[in-house]
Amino acid sequence: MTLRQRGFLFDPNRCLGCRTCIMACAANKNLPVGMYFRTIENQEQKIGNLILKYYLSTSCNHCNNPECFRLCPKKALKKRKDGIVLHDPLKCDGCGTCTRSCPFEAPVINNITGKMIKCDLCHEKIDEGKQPACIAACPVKALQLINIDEIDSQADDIVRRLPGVIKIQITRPAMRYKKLKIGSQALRNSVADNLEQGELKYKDDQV
Amino acid sequence: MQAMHELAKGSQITDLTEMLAKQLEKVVVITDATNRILAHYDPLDTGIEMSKFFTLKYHATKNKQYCDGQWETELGLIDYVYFPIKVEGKSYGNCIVLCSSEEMAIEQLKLIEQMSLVYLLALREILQNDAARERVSDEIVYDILYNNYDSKVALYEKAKHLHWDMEGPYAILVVETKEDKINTVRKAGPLKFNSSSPIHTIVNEKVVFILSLTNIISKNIEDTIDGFVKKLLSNLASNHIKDVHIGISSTAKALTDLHQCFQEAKIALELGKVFNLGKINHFEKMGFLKFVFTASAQELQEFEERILGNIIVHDLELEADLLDTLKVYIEQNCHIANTAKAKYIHENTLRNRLKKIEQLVNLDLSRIDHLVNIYIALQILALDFYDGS
Repeated sequence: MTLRQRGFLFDPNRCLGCRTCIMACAANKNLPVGMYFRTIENQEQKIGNLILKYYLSTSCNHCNNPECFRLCPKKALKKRKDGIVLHDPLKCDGCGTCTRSCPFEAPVINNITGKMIKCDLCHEKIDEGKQPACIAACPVKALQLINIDEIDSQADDIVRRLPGVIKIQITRPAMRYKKLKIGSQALRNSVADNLEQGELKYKDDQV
Repeated sequence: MQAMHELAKGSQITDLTEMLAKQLEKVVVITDATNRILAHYDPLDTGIEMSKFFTLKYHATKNKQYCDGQWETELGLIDYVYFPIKVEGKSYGNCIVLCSSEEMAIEQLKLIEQMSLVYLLALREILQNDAARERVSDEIVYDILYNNYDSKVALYEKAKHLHWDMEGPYAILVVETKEDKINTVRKAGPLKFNSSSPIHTIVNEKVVFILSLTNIISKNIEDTIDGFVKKLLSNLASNHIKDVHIGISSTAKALTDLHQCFQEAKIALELGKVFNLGKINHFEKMGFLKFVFTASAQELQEFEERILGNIIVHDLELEADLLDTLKVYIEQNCHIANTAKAKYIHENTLRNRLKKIEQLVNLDLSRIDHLVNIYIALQILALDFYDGS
């Protein structure tokens, strides 16, 4: 049985670091104040003489080999047929094993309930044919929902890791990235111009 | 025509094979597309023993209808002629007759050609039935492997319906190979393990075997599983499949714990690949490696950079070889002579390099606690280069 693994495709050339994805997620999930499923990091990497600067938006990677799922003593996590890792709050006792075992530190403990909470890829929305809140809210379409297995064999400008992204990939995160392009700030300006005109066009080869 | 009638009446492939073998007065073997023996009949009582697979050696012959070859048995080399049962673009199996092509009369060839159509229909039906059965079983196995069910009672009911052995403990075996060979690997699994049929499925281009360990005492579990793996590898070798990686989990007490075992088997497989531990990897034998990557990735990276960072920078700046020297030194159990030999350098050169390494990392290579840190950092570095592809 071949199962589809859903995941995120993130385009660092488009991300403005505006945090709209974080806020849309928090509002949609009614998260307590100060708690988020998604983070934005300002990455600055030196490669040779080049200094790469970009924003990195991350949340739960819905890994193919999720450690949270393996180690949960209460068996409170499950994986759907489309690869989304879900959490059952009724089984969870908030022991925190999952938060410690995830290499990406994606699950967090809810201060109010004392139980773990994590990104569920807005699976109800996906079932209704809609996009997850973070993806729908992104003004520059830097995030996309993809089928990992399909995208791996299709695009050659897509990579498993970016400079600065955590190197350890043994859990097989369902996350892919567009390759970084030099001069992406210029690209962002052109995106903003195009958005004002009501259309989203990219000049991918723009430097 | 008679065979067609027999098939329509509901005769099995074994009955058809018996009929054909009696008419030919030769041993006839029918295999599916993965060379698994589905039926065979020996009207001459030759005493030739058949295993689960018939290893065909493909030979192109002038006559396109059939090919011939030689089968190595304990009784010596046996000639055979085989007729591919296929339609354009799809092979369903082979009809193998144990004799040389010279021994085949024209009428016999014609008879086999006619029977091929009947076999084609019978094999197609078998294939369809297998696929339908696998679909039902795969759905339930998936729910078990991903803890994706609402009621334990319903799960056990479904398992009972499929005649699965529900008594634990269990172990899981995950096999990875080339994508186009996956179905063959699934079919190549030994039919019996611990007197019950292993449950098998394919999940994300990996074959998963669920093995029931009921009544096996714990000290014999590993040997019993190894026996299963040995048979599996032998069956795969019959199909010319050698490039496989296998991960084996620890044991689960109940069906409802299997999702954790499944992850363990996958982790064992992945770690085996990362650290070059060989084709077959038991999760329980992974030692501390199984804990390493469950720590925060950020912390692991920082640890690795703190220990090895200076060596990496030194190597980059001076185009030196200290990191690899250190790796080989650890691999060679800190043996100076063996490391020097493996690196093709003089022992004194090696000693100088090790001194330089000690200065750079500010650790003492004769202290076990320092060596452990270096060893762990090297393992994390190996994880870094593994991109999961």
